[in-house]
Amino acid sequence: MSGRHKLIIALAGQPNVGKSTVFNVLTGLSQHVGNWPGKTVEKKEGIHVYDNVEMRIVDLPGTYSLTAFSEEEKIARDFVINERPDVMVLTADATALERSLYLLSELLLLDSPVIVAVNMTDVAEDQGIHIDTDSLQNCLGIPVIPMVARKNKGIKELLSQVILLADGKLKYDPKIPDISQDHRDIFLNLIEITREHIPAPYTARWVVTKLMEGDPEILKMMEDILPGEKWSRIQSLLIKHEDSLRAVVGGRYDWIEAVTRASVSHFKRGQVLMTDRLDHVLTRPVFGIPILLSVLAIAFLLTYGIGSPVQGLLERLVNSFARWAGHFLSGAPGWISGIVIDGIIGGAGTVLTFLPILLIFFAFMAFLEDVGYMARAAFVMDRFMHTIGLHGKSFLPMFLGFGCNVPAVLGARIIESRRARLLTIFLAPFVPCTARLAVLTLVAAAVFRERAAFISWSLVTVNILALGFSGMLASRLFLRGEPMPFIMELPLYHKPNAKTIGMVVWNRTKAFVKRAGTVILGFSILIWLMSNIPGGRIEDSVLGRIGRLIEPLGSVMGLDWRMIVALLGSFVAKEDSIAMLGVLYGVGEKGLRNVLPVMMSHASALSFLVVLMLFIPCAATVSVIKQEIESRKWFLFSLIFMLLISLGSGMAAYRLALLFGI
Amino acid sequence: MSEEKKIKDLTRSGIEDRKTDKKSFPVTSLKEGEEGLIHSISGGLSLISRLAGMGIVPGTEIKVLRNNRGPVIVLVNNTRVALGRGQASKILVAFDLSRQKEGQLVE
Repeated sequence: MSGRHKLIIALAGQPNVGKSTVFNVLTGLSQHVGNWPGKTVEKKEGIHVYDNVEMRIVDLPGTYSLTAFSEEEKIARDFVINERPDVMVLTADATALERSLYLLSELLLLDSPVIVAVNMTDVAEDQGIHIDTDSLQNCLGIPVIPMVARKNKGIKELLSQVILLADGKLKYDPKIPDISQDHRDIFLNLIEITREHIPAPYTARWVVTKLMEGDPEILKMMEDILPGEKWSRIQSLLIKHEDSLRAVVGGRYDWIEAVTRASVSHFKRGQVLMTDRLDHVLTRPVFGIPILLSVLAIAFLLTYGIGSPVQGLLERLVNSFARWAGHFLSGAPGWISGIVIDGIIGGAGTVLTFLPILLIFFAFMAFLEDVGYMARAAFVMDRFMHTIGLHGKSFLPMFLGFGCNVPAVLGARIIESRRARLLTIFLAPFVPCTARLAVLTLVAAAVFRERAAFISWSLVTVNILALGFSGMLASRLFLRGEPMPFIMELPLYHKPNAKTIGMVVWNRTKAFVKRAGTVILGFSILIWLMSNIPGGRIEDSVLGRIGRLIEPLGSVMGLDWRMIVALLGSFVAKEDSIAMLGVLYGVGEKGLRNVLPVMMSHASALSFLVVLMLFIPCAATVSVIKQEIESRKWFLFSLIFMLLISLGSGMAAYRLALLFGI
Repeated sequence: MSEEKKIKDLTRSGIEDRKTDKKSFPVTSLKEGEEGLIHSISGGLSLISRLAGMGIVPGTEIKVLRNNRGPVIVLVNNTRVALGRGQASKILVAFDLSRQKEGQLVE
């Protein structure tokens, strides 16, 4: 193995060109999903072995261009500049080749050799677009491979060309785009001024292009490096030619036109695509919104219809496992069996029983995303999202929140503007997740009996209203600023790809299990200790004392100390509050359904549920909020805000319930 | 539809930018199904370069697919892009008859 040839391959490509399909085909289960160091941008990499060559495949963030106006673009280009991958593979969309080549025009300015994989050639042919790859290869001066990644076509050819290119055995003589004619003089002028100051590993050509594009990062870098006199000359040149960006972009599109003129031919003009037919209905407000609502209803029906019975089954399995562990540990000291049975199995184990529900929900979401529907949902929702200071894109992560708030917070990464991302993360915990819905339905069924469904729906509505209210408040009071740009590609609809969906579900599930095994496990043990020390009885324990201490505050909302402790316990995982209620009310063999109605008044139960639904999110969510929100101030503010809003609403619910005698 | 009639229609639907530049107006003033030629983009560097990456550059044909009150959907270079109304109104289009004829000849 030691003699094996090793290569670093970077996968570049604009969004929706099938880059992740290529990545999944190449890396399969060897892929590792993490973060770029110090950034909240996902980094995916994996290994592929071909022809005794070990390729480390790094998936660069999908970006339309490489100007440092977004974090993703900065990461992609920094990786190429600093790590110098042996080969870059640009996945291009055959149905919109011009646009894909724009990214290529930027990649060619960097040092690593590029190979172009023209993907979805089958879809393009259907649309009457024929790409002559030989001619394209000649015009570009670099290798070009036709490919249909979804059908595994062209992958082998791509890999063998990658290896040949890395070994320098292929003709590689790229034609690099020029600046448009009218700005060539200033370009050369700028090169002249900066030439001797360009720091490694940059090239003068690249730096000057970026200066002309107005790239904030490179402007800053050169201001720091250049002597004052030279910098002011550059500044005055750039101010005098403030349309330089246009010249750079124009030059690139001239190049693209020249390249595609000979190699792309259109036939069958004027046909109406399936995508346009579907969009005619799906993006029209009159139909779009009812259809979106029905799709969401199906998502819930599927998730709970199939997921809940399986969850119940797993729960019984966990319980019998706990009993078995009880026998097994009967000789061990009480605290060991306590931690193992009530802490680990009862806490973290119960959380894992929710996996089937999440799995189905994530799979359905990934399906909608993969076929291209989610972008339309975002479009249709845009107007509503504006009322809470966001735009359509934020709808996607928020909707994931109905499954679990953790991927919702992580999903906010797709939003470019920092302000909108912050607000999305801030609002995501108001979306009731499966765990909270489980507690809600269980307690409501026990206490309110035939009115349970009505109460559950009302409380979900309360959450949505609280989300809307908080969004309006936060966007108008604390996060004011210019309206955020909403620019989003609507990809072509296509048949779902099992592998793509499978990988999304697999990665999300893996992350959930990992969290159950770390954060949730840790807090489960901590809460067990707090509810058992000192004395071994929850009434005398630290947790019990804290509960009693806060009880006067709780009485305003109709909560006794046991409900307060259960709420505190819900911090570990929302599901855990059910187990805690069971212990605290000494439910034992009688079951929650029989005990709760006797112990809780309707008003108190209502207040408890309202607080639970709006309370500080679970430990796992809190930990990702802290990681993603990138501001200590906002992190703390978000927690305090949730706390105040949940307690305030709980109080209001209690008072109203008493008033109306519910 | 003749060019004159098109422009008359547009005048009736009211175009704010017409005073400053008679030949170009925001893409939001096109109706669903209408096409134009991108004349310029009157936004900041960040908007210009983001749109450039999606193929929305001067000299390209643009078709409006969806244009009610809210966001807009345009078709450029065989790519469908949803744009907030604010961003869309910064894309200025021109009716260029000669260019459109050229396009028809290719067909």
